[in-house]
Amino acid sequence: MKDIVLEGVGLTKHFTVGGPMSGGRRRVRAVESVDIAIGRGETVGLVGESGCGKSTIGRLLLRLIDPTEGRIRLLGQDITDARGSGLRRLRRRMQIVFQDPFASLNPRHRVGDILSAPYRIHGIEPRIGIDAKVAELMGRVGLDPMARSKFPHEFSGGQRQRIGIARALALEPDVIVCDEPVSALDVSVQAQIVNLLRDLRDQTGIALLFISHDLAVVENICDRVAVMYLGRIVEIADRDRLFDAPRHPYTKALLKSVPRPDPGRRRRALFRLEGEVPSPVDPPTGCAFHTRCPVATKLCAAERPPLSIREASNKVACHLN
Amino acid sequence: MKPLAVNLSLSIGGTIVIAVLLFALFGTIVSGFEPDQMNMKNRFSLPTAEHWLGTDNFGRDLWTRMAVGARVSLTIALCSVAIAVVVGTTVGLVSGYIGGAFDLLVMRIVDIFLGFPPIVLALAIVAALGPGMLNLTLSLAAIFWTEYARVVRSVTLAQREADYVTAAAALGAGSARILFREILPNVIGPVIVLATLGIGTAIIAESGLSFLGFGVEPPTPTWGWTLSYGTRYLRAEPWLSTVAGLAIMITVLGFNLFGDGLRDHLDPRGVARRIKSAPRQ
Repeated sequence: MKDIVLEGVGLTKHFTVGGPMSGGRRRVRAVESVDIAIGRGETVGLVGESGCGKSTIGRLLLRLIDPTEGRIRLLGQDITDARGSGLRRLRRRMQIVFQDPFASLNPRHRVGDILSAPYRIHGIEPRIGIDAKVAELMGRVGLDPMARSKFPHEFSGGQRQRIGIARALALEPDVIVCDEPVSALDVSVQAQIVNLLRDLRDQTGIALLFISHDLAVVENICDRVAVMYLGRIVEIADRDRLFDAPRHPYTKALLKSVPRPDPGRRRRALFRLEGEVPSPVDPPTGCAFHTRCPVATKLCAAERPPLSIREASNKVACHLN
Repeated sequence: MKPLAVNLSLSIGGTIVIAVLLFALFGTIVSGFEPDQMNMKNRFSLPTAEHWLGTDNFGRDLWTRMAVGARVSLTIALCSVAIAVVVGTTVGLVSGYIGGAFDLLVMRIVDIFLGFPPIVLALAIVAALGPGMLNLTLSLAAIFWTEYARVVRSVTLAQREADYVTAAAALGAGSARILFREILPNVIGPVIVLATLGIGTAIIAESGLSFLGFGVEPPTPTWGWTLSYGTRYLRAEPWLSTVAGLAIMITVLGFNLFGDGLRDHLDPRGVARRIKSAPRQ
């Protein structure tokens, strides 16, 4: 195993919602005992439906929210209890790219200010000076350094996402969490941004946690892929294995639901799962997927299958596969 | 900053505001009269070459008295709004950002202030502290700050969840930087607009209190007091109250237009829209 950059062990996050005025307090089980590790230079995909806890895992790993249970390790060091200035120093090592390029840049700040903020926050003076460093960053993500005095609204969605990526790269972190980095962009721009991320990863050896619900994009960039359902990882495997021979019924269903440009099958309806995603407030007993699983048995409703190793480092949580 | 000329509200409002400021500063010098110089032979004069705005019930030059009143009104309005903005914005930012029980407590204190009818609260404070410009200013600030606190708090509540705030936190920015560098520039727009509208409201409130006799004490010729004693002669000589009323109205209008235009000018997105929508030359 390569050395691990960022790791979550037994990560659990419960949110409390509601109050006396809205039907009592309830507990949303956003993430339930998830183990995930990102190796040096590795790109791990995290896929699943909306609300399955993908983004929550990203934010837990970055210590932007506190876990209910579980530990987080950065470069072998336990950072779960880091606070205040100690935590702020650790943030140099891990960064984030957001989904919405319109919300992730302060509309009142010029691009030059946005990109020099990381250095000013940490009191770092790059060897070549902040201004030159900002120009270099803009060049690296394919932006014209002359545009540094523009405001974010003067850029297109793809260009804004490039600014967001440049900001994440500024402090030369070891790992970047990309939280749906392309799902708000046009398809043609998506490809450019994915290629940019891949080039930057290959140049710098940076590790990525790539959160997405778009399987085609994940297949394009990731080395390993984790599939989430209702707060838990149900399958994690090397990319090729997962896409060629999925084991978990949910993974199979996901892959079958991807539209493929195939003229011969144009009019055939895509595979669809029956039913709705159960509420994370009141998850089903046993395997959370048994309510929608086409092959579920009595055992599945009674007992939750553990996420167990099948071959190499590939793991599946299913009684039947 | 090119589109200044395109912004009509800002130009007209700014012109009026500057004119009122110049009037307050130099009005008494150019008129050639003292504000309390009486001339009983020339009462209730309409505007003439000598008395540009006419004279009042004692034959005193109205232009001079309005200029003195402008100085009083503007000083009180600007100072009370400035105090209210600083206090209200800080309270709103901190309360909205910290949230939870602290926010709840602060907002209940704001509710207590809002529970009183504003003029009654101002009257009570002036009655307790005694009349005078400083106390009038403080009492107006006490009724105005809640508005800024509430607006800034609500915008802060929305902004603190925005991705750019999370991004700053992820970069390692501290609370002070997040509050004042990231969030403050995004809440200041509504505050500026409210403040310029607030200056108008403050002028009216100050005039109202003076009208009721709780403002700056006569013989200081405030606009409110002039409006008030003008009503005694309203049927026979409507001009006196009309001048005072117009002075208040034009000034308030000027500040409102100015605030409106300023908001558009300060919002970089608004400017972009204006450039695009402006007719081609």
